[in-house]
Amino acid sequence: MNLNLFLRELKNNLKGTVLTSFIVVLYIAFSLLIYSSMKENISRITDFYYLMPESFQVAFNFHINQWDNVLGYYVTYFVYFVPIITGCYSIILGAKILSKEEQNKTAEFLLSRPISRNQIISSKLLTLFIHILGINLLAFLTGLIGCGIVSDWEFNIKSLVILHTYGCLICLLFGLIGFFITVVMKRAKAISGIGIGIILVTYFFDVMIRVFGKVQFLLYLTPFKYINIEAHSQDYSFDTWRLIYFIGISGLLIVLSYVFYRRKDILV
Amino acid sequence: MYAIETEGLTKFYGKDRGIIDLDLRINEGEIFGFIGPNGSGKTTTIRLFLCLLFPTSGSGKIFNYDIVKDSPRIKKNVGFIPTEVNYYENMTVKELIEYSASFYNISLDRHFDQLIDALDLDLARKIEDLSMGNKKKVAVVQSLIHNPRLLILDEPTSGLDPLIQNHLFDILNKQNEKGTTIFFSSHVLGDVEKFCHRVAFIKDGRIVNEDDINSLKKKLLSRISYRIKEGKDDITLQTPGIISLEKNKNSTSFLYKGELSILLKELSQLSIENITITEPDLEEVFIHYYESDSREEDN
Repeated sequence: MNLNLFLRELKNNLKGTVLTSFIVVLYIAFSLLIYSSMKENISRITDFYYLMPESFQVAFNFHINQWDNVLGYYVTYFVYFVPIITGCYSIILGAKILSKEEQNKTAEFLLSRPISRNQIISSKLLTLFIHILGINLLAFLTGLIGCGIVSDWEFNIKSLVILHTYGCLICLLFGLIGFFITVVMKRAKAISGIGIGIILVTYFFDVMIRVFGKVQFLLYLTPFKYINIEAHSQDYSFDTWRLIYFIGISGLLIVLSYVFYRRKDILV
Repeated sequence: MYAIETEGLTKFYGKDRGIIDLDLRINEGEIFGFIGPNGSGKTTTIRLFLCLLFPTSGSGKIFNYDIVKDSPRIKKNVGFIPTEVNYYENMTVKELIEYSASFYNISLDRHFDQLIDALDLDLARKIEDLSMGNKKKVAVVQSLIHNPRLLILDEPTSGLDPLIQNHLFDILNKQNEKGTTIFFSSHVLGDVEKFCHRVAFIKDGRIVNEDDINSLKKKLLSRISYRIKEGKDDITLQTPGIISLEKNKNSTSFLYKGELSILLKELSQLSIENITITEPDLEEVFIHYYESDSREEDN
């Protein structure tokens, strides 16, 4: 790792991270602010909810019967939007953090300094991780304080930690996917469109699995399926196989990024 | 030990040629000119030295370290000025130079102040606001702050006005006097001629010749163009060494190899309105350089 490069990258990408964190924090805070009124009107919402086609209920994953518990309500909002927003930012950041050096032709400057390719990858990856962890930590703290306030702290904090850990793992995975794509591209360029496309397609696969049980093979193609959303249940804990999925694929992407970048021709 | 040593260094971009079988040996302390037309493989060679590219085959060493395996170690002792300067646009000049210095774990000292003064650089300006010439000056400063043992220069004079070019040559000569080896890539023959000790010519990815600067000078050509005053007669020039003569009304143009004073003496007999003596383009130089070389070999 190179400290100079790391510190520069950390500072450089701060604006995007702060903005994304702000959106996520606002979103979680707003979702929890309306929880009390939602809870008060649960019977009317339930009636309305069951008017919708069953496939729609399944597709959008509204576990309305769990809304008496703040975590049951929180999961509905969390699973939909937070990993999608933070995932989109993570994949774009992952794709940008290395490719911008090639795209702006500053790779020539960087690689003519006494720094190894492994150090470049390590510095960039560490920056990526810290930004993603930062957003997810803020999201968790907002969720924690919000859930605490609206439920008088009557919820299982450990479950919230586990839920957000899954959220963080999926962001890291998306960030690494973005990073890896630009490492293997012959002429790296920002792939914001492709990145957002990947998130939406994998999310759509998750919906497909829920709606049409027959398409279970899509399970392997969507990380969303590997988030355990049963946060309201008493025995909610980390599942080893889910952790192996996230950590295994992330680890593989990290190793492959090092391997490919070590021999990559930088065509600036 | 050579400063730079390559053996059969070859680079292909897929099927496209980069450089082929490059064999170079550059001594420490030497100013080595690397000259060739655009697309001949000069920048590819430099990018292989800096490990931005990986060789398809062959090998290279800088100060006896392998250019692939020992790249970071090599770069501690290398300064580099690129053809086209692309730095972090949102940085100021000072931030950029400090950032560059941080990789060498050095602080900016008197040597840095002298460079800034010599090149008249405004440290507070942002890189994005700099002209091409000023960016080049930044490149010069950042390449020298760590007192490198080897300077790799890729078309360093492009974008610089003649006054700054002279400053640059002064700075480089002083650096060379300290023992720094200079690898000077250019397509401007004049720059190489006045600055380098030895020269290699590269064409279509291959080294076609290496010469010391004195024997190069003997083979170099000048393009002479003059116009005769209206109504005055031109003559057939008798001075030997005139090649590719072209006449058009009052204008005459040709390539000349030999003592300029002899030619000028003959030309002084004419009523010349204006005369220019320039460096021919590199393609012309190559054609006549190799013609004369092969003739010498035949004899």
